[in-house]
Amino acid sequence: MERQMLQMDDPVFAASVSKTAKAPIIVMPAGLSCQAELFLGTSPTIKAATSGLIPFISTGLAQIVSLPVIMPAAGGVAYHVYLDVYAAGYLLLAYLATEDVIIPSGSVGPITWV
Amino acid sequence: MPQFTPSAQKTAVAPISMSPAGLSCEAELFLGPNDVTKVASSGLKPFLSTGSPQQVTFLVTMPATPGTYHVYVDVRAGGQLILAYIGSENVVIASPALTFGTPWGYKTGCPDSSFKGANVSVRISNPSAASITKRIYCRWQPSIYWPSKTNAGYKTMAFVGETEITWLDVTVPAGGFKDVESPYQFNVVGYGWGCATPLISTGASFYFWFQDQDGNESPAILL
Repeated sequence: MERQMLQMDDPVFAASVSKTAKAPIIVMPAGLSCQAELFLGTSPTIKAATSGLIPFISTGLAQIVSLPVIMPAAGGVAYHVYLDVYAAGYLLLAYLATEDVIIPSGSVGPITWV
Repeated sequence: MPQFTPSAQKTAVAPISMSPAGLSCEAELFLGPNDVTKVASSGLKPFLSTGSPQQVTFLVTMPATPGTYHVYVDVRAGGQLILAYIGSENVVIASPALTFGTPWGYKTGCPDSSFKGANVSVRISNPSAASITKRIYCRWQPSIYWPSKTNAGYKTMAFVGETEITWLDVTVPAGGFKDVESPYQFNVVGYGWGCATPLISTGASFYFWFQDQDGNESPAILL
C-alpha cells in the first residue's frame, strides 16, 4: 500500500514528554472493529515512539481518535509522523504526515560576565 | 564567583548549541533564589538555532538587594522549554563600600581639668553610582596598646546629641563625599559640651579611626 500525505502543523516538543495527537479518521462501513497507531520515526520501519494500537469502532463518519505518545528521548532530530489504520487486522490506511515532529536538543556552555 | 554592585547593568555571554538547525529559539538568563523567583532577568532573547554553539548575549540589571543569587538559563524552542540550566557559580551582589580618607583632628582643652577631649573628622567618599547610607563609628584607643585593638579594648566615641550616641547614620550621595565630625561630648548640665567627662589625659597619646557597619576602616591618626 502506498503511503498517503496527511496535513498537519510542524510541532516542536521536548524530549520524553507525553503528548496526545488527535486525528479525524473515517472508516466505512460503520461497525467495523478498527485499530489506529501513530508512530514517530526516521523511516516507516523504525518506530522511535508509538501510541500502540488504539481500538475504535468505525462509524462511517469522521471520528476523532486520540493517540497518546511519549516523545522520543533522543533529541536534535526531526521525526516523521506515521499513522496506520487497521480494520479486522488488515492494514487499511497508511499515512505520512506532511510535517515532522521536531525534538530539539542542545547545551549551554559556561557563562561569562563581561 | 562574580561579584557586582546593586542595580549594575551587566552582560553575560553563554555559548548555546541547539539542534536541529533552523529552529526559532528563545533564551532567558535570570537570577534568583530558586528557578521560580526571578529577581533579575534578561527577558527572552530570540535566536535561530544553527546546530552549532553560538554566543548568545544577555543584558541583565543586577538585583538592588545585596545577597547571593543562583544563575539560571532557560532555552525554549517552539514555545517548549527544552533546556533548563543552573550556573555552577552564583552571583554575589555586594553592598557598595564607602571610602575613608585619613582622619584629622585635635585635642580640646578643658578648663580646670588635667584631661582633654578630642575632635576628630574624616572625609567619606562614595565612588559608586548610587547613594549609600552606612552606620559610622569613631573608635579610639591608647597608643600604648597600638596596633592591637584587643588588649584593652577600643572605645567608641560619641557623636553630638542630647544623649550619648555612639554611631551616626551617614548618607553619601553617588560620586560625592561627606565630612563627618565626631567630637567626644556629653551634655551635662552646668558643664556644657566637651569637658564634663574626661576622655584623655594630657600626657598620653591616642589613636583615632573611623569604621563603618561592615568593618571597613579609615587609617588611624595619633593625637
